[in-house]
Amino acid sequence: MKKAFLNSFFMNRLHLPALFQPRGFTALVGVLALFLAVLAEPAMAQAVAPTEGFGDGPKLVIALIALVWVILAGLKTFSASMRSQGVRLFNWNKVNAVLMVFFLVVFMLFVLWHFLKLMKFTLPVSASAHGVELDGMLSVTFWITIAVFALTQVLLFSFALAYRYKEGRKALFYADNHQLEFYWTVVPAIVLTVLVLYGTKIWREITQVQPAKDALKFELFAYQFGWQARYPGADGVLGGHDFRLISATNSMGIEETDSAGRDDLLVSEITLPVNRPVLMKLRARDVIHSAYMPHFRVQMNVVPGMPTQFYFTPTVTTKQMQEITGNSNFVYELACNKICGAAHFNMRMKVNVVTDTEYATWLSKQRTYFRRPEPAQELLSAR
Amino acid sequence: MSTLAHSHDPSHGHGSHAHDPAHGHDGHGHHKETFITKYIFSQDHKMIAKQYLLSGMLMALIAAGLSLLFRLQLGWPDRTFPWLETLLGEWGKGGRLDPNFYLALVTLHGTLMVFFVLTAGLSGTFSNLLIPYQVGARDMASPFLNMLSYWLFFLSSVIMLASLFVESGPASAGWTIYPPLSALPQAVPGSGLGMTLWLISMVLFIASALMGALNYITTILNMRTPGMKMTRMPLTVWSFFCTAILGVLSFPVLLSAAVLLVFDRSFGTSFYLSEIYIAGEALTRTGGSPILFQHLFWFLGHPEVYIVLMPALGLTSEIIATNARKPIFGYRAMVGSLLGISFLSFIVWGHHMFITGMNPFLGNVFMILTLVIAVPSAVKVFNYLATLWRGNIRFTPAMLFAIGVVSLFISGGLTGIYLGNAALDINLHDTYFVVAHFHIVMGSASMFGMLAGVYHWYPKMYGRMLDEKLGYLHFWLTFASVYLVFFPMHFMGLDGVPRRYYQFTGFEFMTEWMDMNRFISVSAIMATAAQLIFFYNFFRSIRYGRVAPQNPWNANTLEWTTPVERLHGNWPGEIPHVHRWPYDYSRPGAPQDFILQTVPDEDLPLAARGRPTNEALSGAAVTERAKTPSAQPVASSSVFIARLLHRIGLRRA
Repeated sequence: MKKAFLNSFFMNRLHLPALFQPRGFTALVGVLALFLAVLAEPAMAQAVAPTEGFGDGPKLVIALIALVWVILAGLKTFSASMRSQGVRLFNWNKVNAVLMVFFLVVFMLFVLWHFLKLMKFTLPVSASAHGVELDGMLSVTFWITIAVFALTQVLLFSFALAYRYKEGRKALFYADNHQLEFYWTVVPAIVLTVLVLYGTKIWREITQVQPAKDALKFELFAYQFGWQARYPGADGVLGGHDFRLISATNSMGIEETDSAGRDDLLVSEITLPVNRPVLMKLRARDVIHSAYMPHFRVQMNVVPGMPTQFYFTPTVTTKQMQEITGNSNFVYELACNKICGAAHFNMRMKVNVVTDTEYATWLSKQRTYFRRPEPAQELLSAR
Repeated sequence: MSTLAHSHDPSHGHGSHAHDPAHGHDGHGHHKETFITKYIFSQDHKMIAKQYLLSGMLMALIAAGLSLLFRLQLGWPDRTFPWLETLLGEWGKGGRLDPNFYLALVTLHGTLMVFFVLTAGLSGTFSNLLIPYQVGARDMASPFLNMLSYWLFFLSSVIMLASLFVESGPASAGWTIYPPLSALPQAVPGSGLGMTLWLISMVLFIASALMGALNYITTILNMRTPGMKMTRMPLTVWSFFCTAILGVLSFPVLLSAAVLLVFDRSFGTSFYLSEIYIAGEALTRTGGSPILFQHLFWFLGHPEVYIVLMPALGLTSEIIATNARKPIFGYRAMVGSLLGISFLSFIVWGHHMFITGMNPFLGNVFMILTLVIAVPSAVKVFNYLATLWRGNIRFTPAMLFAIGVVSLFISGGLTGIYLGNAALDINLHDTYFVVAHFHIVMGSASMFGMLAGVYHWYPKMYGRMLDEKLGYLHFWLTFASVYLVFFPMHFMGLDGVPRRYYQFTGFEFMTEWMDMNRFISVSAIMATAAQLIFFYNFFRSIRYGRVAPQNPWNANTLEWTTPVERLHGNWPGEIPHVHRWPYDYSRPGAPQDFILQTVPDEDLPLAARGRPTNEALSGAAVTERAKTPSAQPVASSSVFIARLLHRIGLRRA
């Protein structure tokens, strides 16, 4: 076999004329296409403005397809001429088996590359107390799943190579094994039980706790397409609201008759004092939105007609986070994370975490909706 | 072919397999089939299977095209494409996609893929093709209902596609159509006529799915050939059976959700509406709950995931066993895990709703149940691996795709452990992590299962073989690009990047993913281009493919005993009786490495007769021989289920 292969390989008369056979013709077309693609490059580069169309993309793709075409057509021609010599150039079963392991290696490198290169793009340390717990849970889950992932994928692809078809070999007739089934039922069950217990513990700690008495309460109101926040005034109580009162001037439907709401402050950026528990009350005006603050590991849907809430404690100020991330422009952001219409992607609000003194200063600068309790201040600022 | 087909009366001599009275159009010797009865209003399960497949392929092509349009927007948000305006008019003004139309694209891509491709295209094709073939029936229990099922599906497809041409645009509230967004045309233009068409289309689709599913269940329960006990059914049929049961029990709930939504939209009710102020006025309709819709939707929606996935796993089981030339490892555990998954899939829907404002206590319950479902899934993976172990694997394109299913099922299944955990879901919910998860485990794994099925059973559909080398190329390109598209999305999700965003320019922390988005878009284009190879191969081979031999894969199941010519009624003579389970591959003492289910023990050498027992393992490997179930203590849930099956008379002989 080997001799025949070498013979045909070195005999020019065998594969030179092949180029002019029907199969060789496709190779020729491929070469031409490749040539044209390369030729067309400067012309296309000039024609395409950088803000329009794909730029260099299609040209590269054409070149790539042409290249693959040439290689495949060449191989096809070659293997056809070999077959006529009684030599099978490719054992496709083996080719695929080897490709399986090749894929495994590339795949694992690809995964590894992601972890090395992309992890730094993911969220920085949690800026809230419960988020630290969550991240711990995340990493436990990560190590368990990555181990199972690696083990099973390696077994899958290496079995593919190891047990590929061989003439004359017979597969092992092995239909079941109760002990094995027992182990791979019980072991995952135990691991999952651990994860469930751990998960429920954290979930309870986050969602089923009584908010502290000194917790800062504020209301976040979602509408198409934006956010509005309301802080209680000195009384620490948010005034009542009714969606029927919403109007161009009263965007949150605050009840004028409720005296508790007289001193409420309407703000356009959420500002939170560091290390103080926060109870975020959520209300929607029109459709479902979702208040998502990934840096705090906070998310809760905002549902019209059904007030929701989220209780958390910010622990890292914006300034500190700027140092941690090494990004002096870093800001916390609130995003809408439930499809809500055309400008869903633009429903942003800035979130600031500041020290207590900075918070007090900021609070004193905010205005109330009704303005009546401080007519003097109004006059002062007007002057 | 036709002489053979009509010389035999399909219902002759088989009292227990008598056809439905409605099945009166052929098989009575003299009736001549016209083009319309043969190719259009066909009642032949094989033709209906092909109709489903071709419709599914067309819908897949459209859905993939829609995804390319929005990948264009996500990959190159800073560029304009003038041809978009030519193609889409108002929605592509100035060469940029309109944000409303972007949402419509996302919605229709999801709807078409989940329902029209992976439910109708996958389950519809292979349940129709394989159930009668593999249980040994001449056709479905009710061929007429089967025909009706396809044509309702066709009608629903037409209506769904028609919504693309409505002035206010197609439905654009996401494939989950949460109200109030989907209920109020004021909220998004797509919730006008587009949404009405979506709902009408889905109502027809559900009716079609129910007709199909009832037919599948009836056929499997009542029309098995003598000897085909439940425990001798191939795992494909088991998976179609479980899928059909899920469909029957869950689709009506979606219907009720849809009907209530229709009421809210058109008849002034407020099932899902409460305290809404929109477009300058406060709605007078209050007292409803948007969360109610989510409960109803996901009561279907979660089983739907398994309706999509289980047929793919069934096809994979069959293909892996056949091509590894080994019995499927742990047949009863495989059946048990299918039943387990089916049952559990009904009580885990709440994991889609952890942070909707649902009582957090329920979150605990749904978390526990959700993670329990990982156990039968793990059992399936390990059984696949054990089946490959010491096999003699032939890499047909079908086998490559089946191995792809296992790989994707592992990759995507494991990320389910993150999302099923209510605590972790707080920060991962609705991010790209979810997109990565379900596209890998539900989208790609099921799509691979479907492709594996097409490569494997193409000879039974068209009597010809698909080109293998194009199949290899198709597989490797698709497999690589699927991971290239979806794997990086996990990391975007870990960075908190939300799904269904038109562009990522508005937020400081999302802008760093611009390059990655472009990379993903390029990979998506590659993945779609690779499918063109398949389409070329598929349509070319119908005419020019190598003529299929009787049993091209040397498989055991009944469909390979039917003639290559595909008769109406399937078998020219009597329906063969079944004498063994379908996985007697490489049985010691047998003359060949496969034994058709129709072969009785008497035709085999003495050594290969009787109840199959494991071959002794050589060397220091496990020497434990399988014992009979009755001699074994109850050791695991799978064994428990196996013994349960034994008790109720479903035991493998």
